[in-house]
Amino acid sequence: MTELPPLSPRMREIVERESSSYDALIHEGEADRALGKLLQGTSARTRLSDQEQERGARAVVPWYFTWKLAAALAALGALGALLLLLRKPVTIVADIPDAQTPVLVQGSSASTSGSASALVVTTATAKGTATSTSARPRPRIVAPMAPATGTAVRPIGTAMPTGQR
Amino acid sequence: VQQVLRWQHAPATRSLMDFSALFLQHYAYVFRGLMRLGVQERDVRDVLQEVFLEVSHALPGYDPQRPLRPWLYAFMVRFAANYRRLARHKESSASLLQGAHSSEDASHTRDLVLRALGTLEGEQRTCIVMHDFEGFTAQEIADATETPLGTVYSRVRMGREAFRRAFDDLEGAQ
Repeated sequence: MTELPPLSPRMREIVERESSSYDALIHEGEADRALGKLLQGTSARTRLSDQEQERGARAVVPWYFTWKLAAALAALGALGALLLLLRKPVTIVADIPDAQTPVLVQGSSASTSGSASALVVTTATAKGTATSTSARPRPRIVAPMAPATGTAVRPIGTAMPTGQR
Repeated sequence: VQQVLRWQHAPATRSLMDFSALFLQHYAYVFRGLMRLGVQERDVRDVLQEVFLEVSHALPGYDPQRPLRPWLYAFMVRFAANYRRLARHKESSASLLQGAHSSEDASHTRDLVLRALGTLEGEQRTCIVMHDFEGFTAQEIADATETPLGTVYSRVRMGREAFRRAFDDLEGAQ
């Protein structure tokens, strides 16, 4: 990394001339008046308490009480929402007695059709409808199930994305 | 000002005295810097108040070992960037580029400089102003703007070239 070359004489002259021009923009006593305005406004706008004034300054707010915390929480929320949208239909594998047993998937619905050797399970998810086919004689289908008909459906597996079984 | 200060409690007054001294000492400096960073003359006093209000809140946390002006400039850069982001100011900047200039030499140069700076991209403008106009080192700029040192170098290099071209064009068009 090389150092920057110094300003050219012409550029230096421009900078000096430009710098000298600002004095004319600032009126006599302007800084004093602006300070008075700011000090009076400070009390009203920031509502310094007596305690704070006795400490001589406003307390320095830790970063985690500032907008950064709000931003971090918002980012986490957005990430969570994104994950919800993109999630695979996560369900629980369960035994059902036969292919005709109506089942209810918590939070959505599932229906079964077909024969016992090739059961098609359709599950409504946040992404839409997912369909998987089981070739097991005693089909294991997705469901943290509360059987609609009262038929006992025993969850025997753990949560896993459909398609990874 | 003295009357306002007498209203405060004693320790607060001490703090306010520090702040008042800083305000009065750097008023012109901040005024000039904000204009160079793109704040128009008609708005510069308002933005300056906001900068100093923020400075007054941050002052108790200021480490006196650090150089004051780069610390101060970090506030100016942030407020000027917010100012430039507002569309109504962008419109005004566009009109400024076609604006009339004073016949007086120094203020005419200032007009040209501000218009040429106005053609630069925001971060480039900040680097040029801080380095070439305010005399900060590249390291000080990197610290104040939380930018990698190499980026500061390249922004100054490219900014100088762009500024020179814009200035020459504007001067030639007069």
